[in-house]
Amino acid sequence: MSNKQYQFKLVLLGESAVGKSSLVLRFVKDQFDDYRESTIGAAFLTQTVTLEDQTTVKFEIWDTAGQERYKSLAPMYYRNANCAVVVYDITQTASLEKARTWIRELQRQADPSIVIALCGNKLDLAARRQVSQEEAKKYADEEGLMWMETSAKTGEGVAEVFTAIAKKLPLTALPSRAGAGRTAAGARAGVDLNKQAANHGQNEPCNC
Amino acid sequence: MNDLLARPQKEEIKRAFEELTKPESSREKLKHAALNGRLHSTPERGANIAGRSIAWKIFLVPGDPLPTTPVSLQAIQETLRDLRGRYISLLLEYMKAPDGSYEESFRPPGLTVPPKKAPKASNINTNNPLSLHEENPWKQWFEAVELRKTILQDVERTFPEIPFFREPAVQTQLSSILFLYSVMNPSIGYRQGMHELLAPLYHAVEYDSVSSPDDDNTSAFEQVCSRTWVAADSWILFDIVMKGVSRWYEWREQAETRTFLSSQIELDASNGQRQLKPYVAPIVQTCNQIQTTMLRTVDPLLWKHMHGIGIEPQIYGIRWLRLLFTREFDMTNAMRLWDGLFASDPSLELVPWICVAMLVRIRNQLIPTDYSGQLAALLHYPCLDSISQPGNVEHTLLLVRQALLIQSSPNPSTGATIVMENRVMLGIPVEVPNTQSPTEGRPSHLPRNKAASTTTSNSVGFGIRQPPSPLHLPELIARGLLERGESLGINKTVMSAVSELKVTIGDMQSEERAVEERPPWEPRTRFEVEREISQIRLNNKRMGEALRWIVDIMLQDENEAADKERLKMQKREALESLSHVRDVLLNHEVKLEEDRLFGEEEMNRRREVERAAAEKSNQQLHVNVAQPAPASVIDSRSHISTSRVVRPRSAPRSFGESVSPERAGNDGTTPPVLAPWNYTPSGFLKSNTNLTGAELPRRPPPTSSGGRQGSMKSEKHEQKSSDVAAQRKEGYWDPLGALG
Repeated sequence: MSNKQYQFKLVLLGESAVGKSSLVLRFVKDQFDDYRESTIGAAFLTQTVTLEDQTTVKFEIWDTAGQERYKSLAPMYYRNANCAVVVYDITQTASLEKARTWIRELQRQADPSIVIALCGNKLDLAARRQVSQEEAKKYADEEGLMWMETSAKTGEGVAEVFTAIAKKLPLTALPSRAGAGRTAAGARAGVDLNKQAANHGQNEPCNC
Repeated sequence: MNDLLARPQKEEIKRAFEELTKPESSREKLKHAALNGRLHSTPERGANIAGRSIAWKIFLVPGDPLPTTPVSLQAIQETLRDLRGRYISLLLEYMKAPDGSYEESFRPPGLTVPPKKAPKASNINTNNPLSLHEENPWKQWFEAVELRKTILQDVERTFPEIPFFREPAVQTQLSSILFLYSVMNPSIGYRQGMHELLAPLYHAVEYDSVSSPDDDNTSAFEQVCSRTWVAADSWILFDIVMKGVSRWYEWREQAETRTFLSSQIELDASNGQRQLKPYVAPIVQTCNQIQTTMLRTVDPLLWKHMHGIGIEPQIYGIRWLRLLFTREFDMTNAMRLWDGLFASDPSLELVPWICVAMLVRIRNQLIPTDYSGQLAALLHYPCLDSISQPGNVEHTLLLVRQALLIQSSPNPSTGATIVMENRVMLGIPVEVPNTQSPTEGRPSHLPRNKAASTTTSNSVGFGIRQPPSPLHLPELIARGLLERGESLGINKTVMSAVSELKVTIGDMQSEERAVEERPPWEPRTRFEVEREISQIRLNNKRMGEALRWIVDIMLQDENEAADKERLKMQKREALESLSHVRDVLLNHEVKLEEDRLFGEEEMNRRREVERAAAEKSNQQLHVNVAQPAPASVIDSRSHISTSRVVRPRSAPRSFGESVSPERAGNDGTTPPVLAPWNYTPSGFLKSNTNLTGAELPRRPPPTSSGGRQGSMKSEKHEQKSSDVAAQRKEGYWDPLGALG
């Protein structure tokens, strides 16, 4: 009963088609589709992670559209975010460049205490790798980011990303922001999302 | 099912074509048919129906100048012929590499062999792929290739579950159309989402296409539906649809914004002002307009709740507007919506109004919930298909009809009409559920409310049982029904209907709209005057309390305060509250807002106190309510009149404190409980004896959870039949919202 509960807002950013929605789908539902419809605007999902010490961390996940033109909308999504996962595609050098732009923007505009994780996706396509691990790791270290590689397709590393963030967050975020349960300051922290998570088909309402 | 090969028989398409283009049909008639779901007589297969794209061509392709004249096939054919020719020439122009060659797979429609390379005489220094020259046409070409790659990336994942869109040939065509659109409209370019607008258009055209001999002897039908021109026709339709939608894709680049701003600054600097007007994208403007302006006029109560929660409208609006609702409904229903939309408004001005109708439809999900609840309802638009009606109400077409209605008269009574319509047609309860406090059980109301509560399980057949009351209710109000509601002996049915309207139209009473709609020669009734007086008294009391708090804060010495920052803030808040009181007193237009009377901290404290008081008074009521207050009812139906008594209740929270039953019974000046109009008899009942209490069983709005809870518990003390008891339970201590 006395276990700590946290709720965090997490935003996913990155170039179009690097696999943001797929990462979330794998994390939330443990599924994967070869073709995933492009995100328009943003999708909103939730998932809870339980850590070894029985601390539970509920993520409010904002999965944003990747297309650059929507960048001007992004502040709406990363405002008040506790953490951001910036995704690139290890088979596309350009997508790491885009990730760097996002990270710069976050460092400039977002909450200074935001936890940023850089995430190289499509590890299952390592044979076509264009972005080396060393390069990405070096950049992440320089900027003080968390870094890991994942494959939404095989599931490799996906849970680890979110667990690592969950572990890191309560330490850096102030209790008032990550407050337990419904006593949190601010109308939007500490709301109960269980209902939504249970009732809805997450990303697809009824596009049968 | 959606396979390339699953096209209907040619005969079936032909029948649909002839039906749509028969001499006596006009666009006006077709529009009417479309809005009522009678556009197509051919069977619907999933989201497909033969003739859909033909109807879209009639609605969208510019043809007859007048909507009432018979559909002019000739005009449509001519326009199609011209535009198909244009499609080819544009394709040939834009798909050509600077050396005059085409990609090997490139096949413009109507040509079976790849177009010949047409070498141009050009300067080899600038025109070669490796040249770094600024004017090198290859630079542009590579950009175009890049653009096509971006487009294909989205096209490849268009409607992943429909096999038709996995066909490489289809993907190539879709990409070409989108590419052509974006080079023809460089200010907009290609944006994600366009592909999902194009795809259904393309699919419908392909579905209706027939192979035809390519000569002059082809019939009008074969020409309009020619398979050769599927891509061209899709492009034509897409281009027309985009004329309405493109503004919601428009997004000015940062750089442009800056130049725009710098010119602005200069302009303003001349006035000695430096005001930055940041660029607001049209999509954001439209979204704001939908949620603030439009929704506010139609459903003030819902607006108030959404405004209070503060979800940015573009969070849901972007997808609704950019995709024209294809992700909010399943394909079948989305396509029906398109039928109605294209039929009634090819310019798509109606689309924001459809959004409003969509919001009103889910008001029961939106009003009682918090931020994440609203977010969930808006981003995962509730699926209505599971409660499909016996009369097969096409609920998305209903949205279009409602949007047309709101568009023509945007006001709260239209909103009320729509809420009532949703109840009758879709079985959506009028009353907003109070899910915030699900533990406050009222289990015994279930039998009575069987028809009204309308869960998905019992909704079947519901639409038929309901009396056709909705359209009459706004009229009733307009005719001053509200004053007659003063009677205690008023027929229960009308009573509850009026309370429904109160829920429905929210702030309407406070805006005296009913009065406005009444002819000017009718004097104000006693009810209205008394209501106003009690309102003023109440406001005075609230302002008095606010002033007390303000004075308390102001009296505190900053030097002695333990927490100076906090006191400073409180003083600032107090000053703000004071100025609000001043505004209210000076200016009648300014409405008293509870939230602005007190500082945040004080407000929270007061809420806590009220909640505690309400709970306490409920317990008291439970014990004390056995003695009903006297009821002076003149009613011919004694069995109802005996049960129709005003029982004291706890006051709503907004009154700041609860009223104990004893006090209320003796003190006639206590407005919430024993306002005089509650005792005024009326002859209304007699004229409405045909409306029995069972027809419209409905609880009054949940104005105060505390109040209703009290009445619920008092139920046990009544010795009436279950039917009467059920009616009793509703109570109506403030049925007219006079005190809200």
